[in-house]
Amino acid sequence: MASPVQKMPERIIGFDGVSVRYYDRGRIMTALHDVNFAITPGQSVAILGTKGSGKSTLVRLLCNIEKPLVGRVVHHNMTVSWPVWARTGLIRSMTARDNIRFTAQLYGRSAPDIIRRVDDFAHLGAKMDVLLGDLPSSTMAKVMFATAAALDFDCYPIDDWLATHDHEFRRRAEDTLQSLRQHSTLVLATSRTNFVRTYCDVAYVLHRGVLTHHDTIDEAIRYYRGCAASSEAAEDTEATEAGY
Amino acid sequence: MNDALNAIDNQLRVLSAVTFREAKARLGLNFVGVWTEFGRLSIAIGIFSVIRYFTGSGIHRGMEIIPFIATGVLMFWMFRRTLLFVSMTSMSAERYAFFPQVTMLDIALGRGVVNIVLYVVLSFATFGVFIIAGVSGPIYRPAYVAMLLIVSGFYGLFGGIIFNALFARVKILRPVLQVGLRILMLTSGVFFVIPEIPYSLHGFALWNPLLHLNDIMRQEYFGKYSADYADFGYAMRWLIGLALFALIFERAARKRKDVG
Repeated sequence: MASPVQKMPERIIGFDGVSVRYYDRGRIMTALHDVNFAITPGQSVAILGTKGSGKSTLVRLLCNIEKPLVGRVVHHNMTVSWPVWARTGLIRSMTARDNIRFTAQLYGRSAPDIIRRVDDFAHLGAKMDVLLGDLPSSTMAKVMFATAAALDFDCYPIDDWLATHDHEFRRRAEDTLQSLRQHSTLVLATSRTNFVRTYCDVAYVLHRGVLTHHDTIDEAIRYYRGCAASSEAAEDTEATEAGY
Repeated sequence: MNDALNAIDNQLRVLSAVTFREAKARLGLNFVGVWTEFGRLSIAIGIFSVIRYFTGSGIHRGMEIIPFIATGVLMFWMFRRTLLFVSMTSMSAERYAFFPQVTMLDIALGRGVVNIVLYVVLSFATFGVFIIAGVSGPIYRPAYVAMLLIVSGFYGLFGGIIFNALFARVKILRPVLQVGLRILMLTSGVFFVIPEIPYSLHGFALWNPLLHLNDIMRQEYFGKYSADYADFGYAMRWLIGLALFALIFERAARKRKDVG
């Protein structure tokens, strides 16, 4: 396949022949195999994949948290946020306010403005000055999401959908994502097809580390369901062989 | 030219943000970290001073014993604590994983700067308490005292960067470093000045740059002691050497991409 980043447009994020392998319990596992694709501004891209298909690895590469073993990930004039629903990344021994201040400072933005925007969104109130470690872990996810939205990145990678019982926050988050979609790029790595139909206009399927592009969302979902069924069958066979 | 200026601007922004985060993490809520450090230092200075007082006298070569011990302890603690904090940088690097613009060197520098500033403040607070309590006269040349403390802190910073790189490959070095620091404490002039070392041992003892710094520290703090054997140029040559080695080690320890 031709490299998607050979003729580089003004703004692009590209995966060029990216492979990632892990050494896990005495075996070499291939998380991604020769992945090539490009994301341009304004797209909402779905990466459909079952558990263990390599979605999280792909998102981590996209966010520059990890480096590929082979190939390259190019960020050309596009800023990328951290994985949007992350429940890690902030320091628990610091208050939410100080964590946000650090992030704003890192990106050269006005800290009071970002703190205000996060508070408007997450409604932390007095909890803003409580140590994050003393708050529920969902607070970290809320702060990370609200800070990312306030910093106006060009691209927002989402590693699976938010699982929360806070319906009010979920509604606000979904509204925010819809508005981010208007001016930013979303990359949604998920196994849930209903979100793909709602939020995405381009779809890929990631199966056993191999990424395939599909012309329509429906075609991608059909292919994904076939992959999911074959993964389940393979898991059943493994379990039978293991004597469970 | 613009690219270079942008790069410098980005680097300074990252450094200031990391320093802020490290300071908050180090000092803790309500400055608990400062009080802990202050308590730790007070205990060390108190115990060593009492030992010296009962085994010798209240005056050591014309210098009051409590500030004499305090200058040595603060100088060595500045080095030791900075070195230990910076050498553990890789352990906390995971906290910055979501911010790829932050490198290991940024974290090490941030940690080092926070610890150096903290110790300069603590040192002068301690000296202030001594002066108010009447156990010490005024500092002879405070700016020089501050500079010597900072040099000691930079030894710790650069040494920490070197050990941080080494620990990534040789884990067994951690306990070895602890033993090494104890030996260094006994040979760095925390409890004595250079003229007290037998002349035949000068050749061995004077390789230690902290011994030179401690001796000059007593000269600058008290004003009535002359550090004739100490060489500030030698101490600065060590600083430059450590800085160069720190950069080399830091570069060598960075994760490399394997070529498939």
